[in-house]
Amino acid sequence: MKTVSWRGAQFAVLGLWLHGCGGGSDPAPSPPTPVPVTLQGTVTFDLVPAVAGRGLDYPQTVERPARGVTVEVVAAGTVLASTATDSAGHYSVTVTPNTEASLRVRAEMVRAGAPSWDFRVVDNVNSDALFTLAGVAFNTGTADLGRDLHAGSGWTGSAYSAPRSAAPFAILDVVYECVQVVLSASPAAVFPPLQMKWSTSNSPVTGPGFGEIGSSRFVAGVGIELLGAAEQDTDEYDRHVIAHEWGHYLERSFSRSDNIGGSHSITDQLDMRVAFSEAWATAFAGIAMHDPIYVDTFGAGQAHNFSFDLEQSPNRRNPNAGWFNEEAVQSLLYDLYDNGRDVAPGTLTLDDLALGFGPLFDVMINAQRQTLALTSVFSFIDALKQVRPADAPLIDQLTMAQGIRPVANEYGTNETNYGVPSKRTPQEVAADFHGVYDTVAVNGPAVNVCSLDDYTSASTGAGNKLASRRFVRFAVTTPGPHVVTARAIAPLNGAADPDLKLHAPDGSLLSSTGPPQCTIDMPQACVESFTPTLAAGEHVLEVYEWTNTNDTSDLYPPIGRTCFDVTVTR
Amino acid sequence: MRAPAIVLALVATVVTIGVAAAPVDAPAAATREESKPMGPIAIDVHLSAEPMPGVPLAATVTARTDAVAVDRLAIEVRADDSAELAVGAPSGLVERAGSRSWVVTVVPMHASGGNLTVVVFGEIDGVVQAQSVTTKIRSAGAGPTVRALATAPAPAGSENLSLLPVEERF
Repeated sequence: MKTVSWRGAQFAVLGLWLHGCGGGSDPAPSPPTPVPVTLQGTVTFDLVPAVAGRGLDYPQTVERPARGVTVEVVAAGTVLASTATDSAGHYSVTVTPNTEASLRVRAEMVRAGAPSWDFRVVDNVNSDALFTLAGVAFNTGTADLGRDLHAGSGWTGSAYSAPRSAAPFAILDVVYECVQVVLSASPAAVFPPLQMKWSTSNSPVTGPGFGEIGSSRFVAGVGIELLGAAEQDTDEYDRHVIAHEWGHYLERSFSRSDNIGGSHSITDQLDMRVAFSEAWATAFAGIAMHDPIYVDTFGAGQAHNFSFDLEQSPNRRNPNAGWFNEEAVQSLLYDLYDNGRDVAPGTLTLDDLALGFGPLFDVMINAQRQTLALTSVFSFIDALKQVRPADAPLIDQLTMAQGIRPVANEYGTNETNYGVPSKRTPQEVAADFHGVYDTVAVNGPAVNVCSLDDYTSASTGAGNKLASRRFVRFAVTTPGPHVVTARAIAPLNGAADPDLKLHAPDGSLLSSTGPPQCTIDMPQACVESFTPTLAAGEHVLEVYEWTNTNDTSDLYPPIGRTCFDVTVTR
Repeated sequence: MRAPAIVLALVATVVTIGVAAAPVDAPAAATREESKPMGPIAIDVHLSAEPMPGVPLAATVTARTDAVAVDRLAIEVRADDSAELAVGAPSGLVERAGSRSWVVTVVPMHASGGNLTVVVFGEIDGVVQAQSVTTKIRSAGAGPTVRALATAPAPAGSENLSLLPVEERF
């Protein structure tokens, strides 16, 4: 340790100054300019590995550098110097000698210019206070100083009985890795500000209490909320979970997502927008973490977990593969990225594509953002095949390995896989599909579409599953007001309530209004209609029975198959 | 989509086991919350009665899975604070097609109740998989627990920081 006490340093400087004043009548010389001292060191944090089958593996905790975080030298509440750690966690600043100061490390990554970013980890149960490591006071002395700082996990062998200082920096470390991946494809990326909201009170309970966030999640306009309740569910060391949520932020910030949100698991048969967005987020997590094994830990001692392999081991049989299944789509995306040669289940198809991240990101920020269709695996794959026609045969092999027919266009017009319904036979359900999208002609005959609840999940309920919302395309050739109508015709086995949402080519979303409810006794109330003024171009109408978008535990649970005649007139 | 006025009165009659119901006229998807994936095991926790301080009640835990085969499905239950919630051992295993159920006796010690965390785990495709659910068990009308702030409020005008200790090495 090379420090000089504050009092000793004062005397030393004073002695020099007195010596300079001694004797003679020469003008008094100026006091010597204090020579700044260099303060340097390394900032590290405890990283507890999350291991599939074991949960958080505390005995294997390693110290990792805190990269790109802000280090400040503070005196009496004033910041004397500030810098950011480098890729090894090193910092170096010059400070005034003989000054009482302390070091502070802010849980933030901030950079101006191009590229630029502003990522912060805040305490959401404490007014979004920025987490900060607070060092003890010391005197800067007159000689260069070395001071390393380390944030511990707080785990003391059987519990978190010390402050969990490492957690915000473990979260930021994931963000650092995610940023590097994006910069590899877009070196001047300008990232919108993002707050990661973490607290030891953040519990998997949904409610109005402090920290009752229910789940780690990305909420547009709010940020990423992360669980931290020990012995229940903590996510600060679940790196894929953090990167998954950051993948949602990336998609919303640089691309477009029509994802309607909601609970989901990898075996679900989902609304295709949910399936693609969740698959993108998980595939991105595997890419950014350089690890295809996704692990989420929880429970007593954080010793329980669930996990899956993006590479899908050959003995893995996906029961619900297809364009509506996030496991199928996430493995497809990861196989497009990686250089593996994994054998898809039940086929001899080899993964011979290794595109890396750049081509995938290019599609996301261009075609996927501008598609006139809804965002799905069809819009993504169609765009990728268009920009890489030579790779189309290999891309088709990969989609087929995941139960998706070769993609013909952004609307998936040749798709015939409608999954495994749980309430009716596949043949019965298939009769309610005329494709991924139906098509109606303006001023043409009605097209009949059915809102279903045949894909309710044991894990995650009904709200965002396949075919609860149906999609109808139509082309406007003569701009102006159009009457868009959905008339419930069968079965009226409950209080049917049709709803309409219109996705316009400019990206706007228009919704019908009014609360029609109808039964067999009130068939006249079975019509929902609105009259938007439309520009020329392709439009997508979303038609659904409102209750079929609710969960099974809702006050108005799904009433099941409800069919509508849909018309558009000019 | 229903009008709000139609349903407000009905919401009040629903036993929510401490979980506030969302306005039913607003589809949950409208919030656009993109949450983390859930595991392959689904867990439902159903309480036999409304929680009352000092009164035991049965929590029926049902686990289901979409997987074809699950080996050695087991359960672990715990309260986050035993002073707030007493939890008995799981019993009464019932197996039905595609699901297993257990009964757990819980006793809320105070109106504010506590959290019951249930973990169900088993082996699927040769890999140990688990899922957890945490349920707040609270008397009707009892407000949510207000947790003390981890740090003192920042002085007026100063930056709001949450200070954590750090080990310094030199």
